[in-house]
Amino acid sequence: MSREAPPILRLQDVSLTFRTRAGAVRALNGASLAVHEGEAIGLVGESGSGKSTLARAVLGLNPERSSRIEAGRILIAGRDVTRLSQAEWEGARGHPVAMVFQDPLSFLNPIMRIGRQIAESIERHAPDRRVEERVGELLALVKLPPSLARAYPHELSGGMRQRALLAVALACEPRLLIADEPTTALDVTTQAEILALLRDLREQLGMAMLLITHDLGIVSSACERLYVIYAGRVLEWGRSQDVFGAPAHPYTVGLFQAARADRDAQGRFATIGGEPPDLGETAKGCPFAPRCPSAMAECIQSMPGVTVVGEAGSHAVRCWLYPPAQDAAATAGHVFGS
Amino acid sequence: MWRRFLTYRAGVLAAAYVLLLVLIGLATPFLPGPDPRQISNEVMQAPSLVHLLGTDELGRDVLSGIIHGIEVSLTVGFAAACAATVIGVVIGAAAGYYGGALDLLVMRIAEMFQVVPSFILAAVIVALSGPGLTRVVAVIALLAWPQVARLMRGEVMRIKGLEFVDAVRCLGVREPVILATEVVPNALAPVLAAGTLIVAQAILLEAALSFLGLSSADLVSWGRMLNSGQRFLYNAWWLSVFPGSAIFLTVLAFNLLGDAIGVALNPRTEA
Amino acid sequence: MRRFLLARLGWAVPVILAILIVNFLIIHIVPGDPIQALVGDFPAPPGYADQVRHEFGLDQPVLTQLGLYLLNLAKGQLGFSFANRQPVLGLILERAQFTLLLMLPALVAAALLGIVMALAAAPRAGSLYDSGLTALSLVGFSLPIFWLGQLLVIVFAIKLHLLPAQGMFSLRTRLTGWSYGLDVLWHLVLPMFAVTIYYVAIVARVARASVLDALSQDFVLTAKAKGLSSRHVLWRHVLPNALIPVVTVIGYNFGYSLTGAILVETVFAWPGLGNLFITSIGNRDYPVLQGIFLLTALAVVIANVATDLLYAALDPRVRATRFRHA
Repeated sequence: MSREAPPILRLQDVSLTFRTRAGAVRALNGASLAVHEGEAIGLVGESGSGKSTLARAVLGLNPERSSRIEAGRILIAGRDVTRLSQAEWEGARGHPVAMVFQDPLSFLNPIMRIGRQIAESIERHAPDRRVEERVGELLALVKLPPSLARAYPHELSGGMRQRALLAVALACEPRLLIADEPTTALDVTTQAEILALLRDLREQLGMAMLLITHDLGIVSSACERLYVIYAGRVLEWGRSQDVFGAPAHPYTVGLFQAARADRDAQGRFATIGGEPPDLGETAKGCPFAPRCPSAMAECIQSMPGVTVVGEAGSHAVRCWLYPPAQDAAATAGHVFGS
Repeated sequence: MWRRFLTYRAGVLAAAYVLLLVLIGLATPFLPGPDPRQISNEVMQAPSLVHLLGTDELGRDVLSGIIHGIEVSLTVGFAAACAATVIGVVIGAAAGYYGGALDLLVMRIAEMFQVVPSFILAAVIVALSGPGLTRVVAVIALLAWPQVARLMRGEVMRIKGLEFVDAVRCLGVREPVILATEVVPNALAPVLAAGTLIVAQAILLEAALSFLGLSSADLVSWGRMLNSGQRFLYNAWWLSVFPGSAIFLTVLAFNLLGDAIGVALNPRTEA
Repeated sequence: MRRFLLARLGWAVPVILAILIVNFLIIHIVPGDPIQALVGDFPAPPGYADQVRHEFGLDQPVLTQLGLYLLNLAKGQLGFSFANRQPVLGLILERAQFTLLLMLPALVAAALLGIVMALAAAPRAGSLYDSGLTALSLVGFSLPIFWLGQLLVIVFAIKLHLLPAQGMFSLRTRLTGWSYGLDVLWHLVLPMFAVTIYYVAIVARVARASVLDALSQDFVLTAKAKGLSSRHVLWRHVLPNALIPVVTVIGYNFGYSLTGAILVETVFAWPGLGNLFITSIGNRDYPVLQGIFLLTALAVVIANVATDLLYAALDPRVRATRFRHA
């Protein structure tokens, strides 16, 4: 699995806290992941798992006054961006990493024409291009008619807005596109269209993608590898086919069961019992332990290390059910993809 | 952080000031000191130990005038605010609870009152009908009730949809009784804040009317004092500065109090 | 757009009608003979009262009176001011120019000042500076504007001798052309300053809230994610969105602004509507008072409709939604 080029994006043990009135909340707790050039990666978790925070941390978009990266590094094409000042950030966003967001209506400026919103990206990242022509190209790229450049967001349907938002991001000419729940606000048919479009675009432009979602179905069809995140910790990761074939972590298993709406012996839907964790706790153990059907004494005391499961080192998990190998650190590095 | 803290602190301070004003207002007839209507030959005296805030063109004591002026300001402020609040609560509650044509009619009327320049209308009415405290109170109440009515209507519409109201209805309680005993009491919190702000507006409006000379000449009021102060700006600054400060501080206090009440009764207010 | 226009006119017509009826009713609140309200207390030529009594049908039933009253208004017949020896309508329109001369620059200045202050404060919501702005706007709300005017006169005109205290131009010398204009501007400074402070209180309060609101909108994240500078985001994305409610509030508060200007005029003897108003109170020149109410109320209605149209021009969403609901 190891590759020559440095990954376009790598997170190493990133911890991030929010200051709230109720106290500090640890939204990311030693999260690590890597995305290579051209790769499609899924980041899967429930709402509140920290997946959106992670995505925003990559572009420095978490509220500057109330959030802080406590530890770890975020490397974009090998450059650590965690130490960037606010002013430096302004130059660094959009290229090589761009982002599309969840709700296309609220994430588009309601009183600016679509064409202008796309043009702003072009002017910022590729100013020599003939802007109007390029806006037309980008609209065509996301399969929208060029006349929509003159439209306002409220005049578009949900799917069209998501395409427009995509065009805004693509205008930055990214090598990695982070898509934060890009289909959640859409109906099923439109979801499929947008996913197909994302796949086409990736092939056409050779761009990597980090797809953030709570929907495992989307990941299985669109992503080569996936990470499962819970309470700000990455609990399991690997090639999609491996994780789908043999989910290792009880949390992942629970997610799959909930997604397939398996019924138990009494005919009830399987859900993951218990409440999402309180992120304010500075608990030592595995965050899933309180809800875990297989929890053991160790689980509450400390967070397990990384264990490679399955063959070829393409699938790893952090769970006490899988006692760590001796050279855990070495394999961890390997599995993260360097 | 700062906002919440300052709002709270200012609210307490304002409440203390209002309380003090009310006490002085009530005690005015028993206080020592010259009658504010008493003409003397010590005219246009600058502030001194004898006349702490100076005297006016007829030798009347400014401090005494300010103390006696409390009565007019507070009477007009409280009376107009109470009247406007009662009218607004009744009309707004009825409109919000029953809806339909009544609601439409009432809200259109309220809208019209909010569109017309209320001060000019008040001044024209008082100018034509003649001065008098009752008239001034009535005019202010007439112009201010729509604020309360709109608020009340919104609250009532929100509350009548809540579950507990349905529960009471299932007990067979009659609609007007539900409105009076269950809905209205739960909607009063924001109305209290609005009513306090109306006190401030009423005091300001009364002062402006008196400043234009639209109050009886024998009534001691702060606005009236500014009216005579206007003629002597060149020789007697104290005739303007002190009565104006009294108006300003009092209006400010009621505004602060209203804001603080609003924040205190609404936990969702931004920090 | 045409349907939207019609909808707004459909709102304005009943309001105007109501204002006319209120004005008609005012005549009848004068103690004694309503003819007083139509003629005023200033000595009128003999026979004039009877002529008016006939014209307005004061001996007829109330509804006939209302009809005649509206008819007279439609003819632009607002009565005659004997104190000024001039028809009321012309008199008011003439003075209104001077009020607008005071009011409009103050409005523009206050709008700019209020927005700039809010832009500076909102990103630091909750800070001491931000709380200071809120406090300042509360002070503005609580200041009796005529007293503010008096204070300005005392400090800047009387104590410091910096600026003229009264009137619109110097009386001692006859100036023409540019120097006349400069002289008027010179006299405009203090009253305009007073009115501006008064308006800033409203604008800053609303502007702060709307800038804060716009800053927290999701599209700001998109704009940042594109790599735009925070200055660009503030001016091109946050400000235009924040301006819409500010413009609306300024427009809807035209009556409030007008009242402020009128009260300030009485302090500075600025020869606009406020001055006419206070001298007419002194002269018991009732037709003028009623005329001022009528015309200012109409102006406010027009300002409201104009604000709605401006709103529609600024916000593409309103245009569309109003289309659907109109």
